Amino acid sequence: MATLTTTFTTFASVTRMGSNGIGWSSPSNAQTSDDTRATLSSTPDASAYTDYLKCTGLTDALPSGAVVSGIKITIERKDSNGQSTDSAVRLVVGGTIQGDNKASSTQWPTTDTNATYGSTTDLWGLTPTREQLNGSDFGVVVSCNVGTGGPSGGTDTPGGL
Amino acid sequence: MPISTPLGPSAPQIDAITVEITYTIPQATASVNLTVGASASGSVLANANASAALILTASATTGGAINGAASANLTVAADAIGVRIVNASASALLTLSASALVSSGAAFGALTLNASASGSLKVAGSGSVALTLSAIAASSFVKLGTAAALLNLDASATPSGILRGATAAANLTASAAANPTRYTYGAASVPLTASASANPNRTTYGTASVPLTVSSSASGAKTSYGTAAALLTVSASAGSARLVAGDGSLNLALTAQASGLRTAGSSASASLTLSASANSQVPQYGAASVVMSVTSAANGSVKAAGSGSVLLTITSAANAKATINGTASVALSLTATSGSARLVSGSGLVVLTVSTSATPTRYTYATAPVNLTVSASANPTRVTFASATAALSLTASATPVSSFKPTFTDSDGLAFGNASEGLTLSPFTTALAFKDNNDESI
Repeated sequence: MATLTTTFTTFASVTRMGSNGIGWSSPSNAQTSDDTRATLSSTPDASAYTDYLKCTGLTDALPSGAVVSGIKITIERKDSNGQSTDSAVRLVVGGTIQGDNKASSTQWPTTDTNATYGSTTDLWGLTPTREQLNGSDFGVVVSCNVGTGGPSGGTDTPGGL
Repeated sequence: MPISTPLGPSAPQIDAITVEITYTIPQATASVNLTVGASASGSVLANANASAALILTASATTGGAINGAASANLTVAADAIGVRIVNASASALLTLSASALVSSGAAFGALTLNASASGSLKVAGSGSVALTLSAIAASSFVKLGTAAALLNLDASATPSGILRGATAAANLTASAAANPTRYTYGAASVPLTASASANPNRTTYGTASVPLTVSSSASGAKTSYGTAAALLTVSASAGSARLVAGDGSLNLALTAQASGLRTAGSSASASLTLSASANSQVPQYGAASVVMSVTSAANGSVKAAGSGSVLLTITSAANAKATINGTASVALSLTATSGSARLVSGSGLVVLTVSTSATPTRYTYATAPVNLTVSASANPTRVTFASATAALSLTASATPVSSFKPTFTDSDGLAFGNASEGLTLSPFTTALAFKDNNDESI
């Protein structure tokens, strides 16, 4: 069993239905862990979920003959106000968002922290092939729940897929 | 009463997204073609099976092992600085090659190749200290090896044949046994012994810088030939057919006896003697820089060919067909008699005399840069042709010649000798002498 650890080549903010127009600014900043981050393009004025931060195209390719047995996504994220939670973390296979939604209800911490989704034996309810994963349209989308803040510091979680 | 601190709106930030993909590559098996390659600084182990074609390659700095099996074709190659073991089996065709270097210095270690195949087998290897090749095949196999010190080849096959080849700087021993066909050959800088016995076919040959002995015996066909810088002895005997050939810079002796087909060919810088007798066909050929004598007699066909830088005498007699070819830089005499057909050809730098007589067919041709005389007589058919750069004389008569006395002339056309049996020659220097068929001066 072998492991390929890599990142993606293309990052974009993609409209998610019902997001109330809250997109991502500088999405390509999520390519490397350098404290230069992808952020929201506007301040939320209501509880909603954001557009997708879509990452596609593996930087490194799987070798010939590889049979995929697990996919694990690691997201280094934070919210300085502690107001965000996951809304959607899903795979993009063949350009289509599909598979399990690995979103967690845990609040994003106020400092950079890695969160992992999937495992070495988790295929997210799919059966992706080596050719699909090596394609430029394979990747992951991330969307989070945001709120306007308040005295209690609570965060609304509008949900949605 | 505690005072709550208002919190700002969500400000999510993502610094990095990475992916970790776990995968496996299935074991290297294939029903058609399989290629397995590996390299490592430690050891290499490659195992594979294929029903059609299999290629295994590996390289390692310390040790390596390669094992494979294929039903059709299998090729295994390996390189290692340490120890290497190559094992393979194939039902059709198998090729093994390997080289190993144990130490980083000038000394090599040991190499062992083992192989078995139900069809054809080829095992090849090289080593500076010791090399051992062993193989077993159901049909035929080829073993090739080179070693600076010691080389051992062992092989056995049933039923078709064994072919063995080896070179060694010190000692080389090649032996083979098979039924019905066996080939043994080798080359060594010091001593070389190649021996073989088989029923009915056998081939033995070798080269050596000092002494070389090649011997063989068979009830069917036999081939023995060799090359030696000092001494060469080639002997062979067979019940049906035989081929004996050799080269020697000092002394060369070839003897052959056969009741069927026989061929004797050789060259020598000092002296060369070829003699042969057969009941059916006897081809003989040779080359000598000083003195060469080729004689043959057979009840069937006779072929005698030779070249000499000083003196060359070729005589033959046969009841069926006779072919004589020769080249000499000084003097050349060709004589032939046959009860049925005869071919006589020759070339001489100074003097060339060709005369033939045969019944019913005769071919005579020759070339000479100075003087050329070709004469022939036959009944009923005769063909005579020749070429010369200076002078050419052709004479022919259809009347059978009861006796023949060649005339030898120098570059001025002056006669200086003759002989009733075509064995007397006198070149232009006092160092040369006339000799008869028994190589005795007259």
